[in-house]
Amino acid sequence: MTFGNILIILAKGAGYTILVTLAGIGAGLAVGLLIAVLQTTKVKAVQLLLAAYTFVFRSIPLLVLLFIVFFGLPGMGIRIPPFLSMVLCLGLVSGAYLAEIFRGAMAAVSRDEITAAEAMGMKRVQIFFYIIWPQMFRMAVPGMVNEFTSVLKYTPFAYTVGIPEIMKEAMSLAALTLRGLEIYLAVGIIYYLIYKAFVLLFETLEKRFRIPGLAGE
Amino acid sequence: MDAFVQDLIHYSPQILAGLKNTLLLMAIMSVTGIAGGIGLFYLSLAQNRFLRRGTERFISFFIGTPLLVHLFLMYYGLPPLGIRLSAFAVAVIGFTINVSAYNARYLMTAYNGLDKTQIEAARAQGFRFFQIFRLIILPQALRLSVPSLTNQVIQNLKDTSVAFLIQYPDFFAQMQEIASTNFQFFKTYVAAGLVYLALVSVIVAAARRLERKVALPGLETLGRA
Repeated sequence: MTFGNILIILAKGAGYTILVTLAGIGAGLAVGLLIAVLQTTKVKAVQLLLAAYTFVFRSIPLLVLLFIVFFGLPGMGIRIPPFLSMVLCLGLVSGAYLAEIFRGAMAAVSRDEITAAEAMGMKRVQIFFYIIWPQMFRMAVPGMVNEFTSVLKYTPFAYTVGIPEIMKEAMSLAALTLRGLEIYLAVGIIYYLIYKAFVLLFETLEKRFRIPGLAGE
Repeated sequence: MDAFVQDLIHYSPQILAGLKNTLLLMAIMSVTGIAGGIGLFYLSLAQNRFLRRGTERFISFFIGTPLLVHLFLMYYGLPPLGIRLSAFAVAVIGFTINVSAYNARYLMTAYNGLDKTQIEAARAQGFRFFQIFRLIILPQALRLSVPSLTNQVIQNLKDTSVAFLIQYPDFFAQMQEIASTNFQFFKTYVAAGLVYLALVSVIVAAARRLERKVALPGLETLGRA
């Protein structure tokens, strides 16, 4: 078996890796945005709850969280399938990080513009979608890309719950052929290619939506 | 008393041994990671173009690939070549390279924010490059990246849990073993999570103190990563 063959076999697992990554990013964005929006409310209890959420999910290792959800919850009568468990954990953790990134970006939107929008009679929802969102989204891009690549790098944990992604394929292949060095080197190369592709994609998106003069770099 | 609490007390020597291994690994890679990070940062500022590019590639590769892959590569990939490293050695080497790459990136970001006229001035005064690095660039870059570097220490603590996948007997490995004997998976893993939470809180408190201590009035620190 040549190195090329190994690469091809492992690349089959890459589909699952990309799927888990994209689903994890989607879940993370949903959680992060929800928290960022809720944080704008002035209710103290909500603020405290959200602060507790971000602290907890930024402190517990993803692997531990995955074990709680996948191996722990069935004992409580809640059974979540492997793929959903992985995506849920990625979403909860990256959501906590993304919320912080969004909060920073939101704080950078000029207060005067919001005051002006209020004076024009825009509703809160309108202000968010027409004034805050377009600006904060662009300012949050570098942080978001960072977080998205973290999600990609967490996906190998999916093998521990039996999702047939790259790492799982590599382990069974290594057990069969005993050529661990080449196999894991190939795994590294595949991950790096996916990583580069992600970064490139986000950079192109960022360039497309960039507004000259608006800080974003 | 609750059977679960009794279990934890019964297994406490094992848990404490695991906790010691976790903290040891974290402490080692935090120190070697800073040293390695400074080394890579120095190389990525080198005069030699190939050295600079090579270092940049190296950093980019290790930031772009999962830590678990590096650990598996050494733990399962090297023995067929006759190189047999213990789980501890693999963890220390793998984590050091990984953390060094991240730390080098943080230092580079801080460096990009520095006023470059200082370096020109130093050169005009006849400073050699190593002197400029040691006396002018590094003290400022380190100070500016304190929040990122302390964040990395928190990340290090959390990442030690990955070492259990290469059979390193860390805290999480012990909890995992206990869970597989008493079948209280939920309680045991939640207890593990709470311990990580407590440890992170301690590090965060220490980091805030350090940040206040090294802060220079007028020299802004970079936003946390």
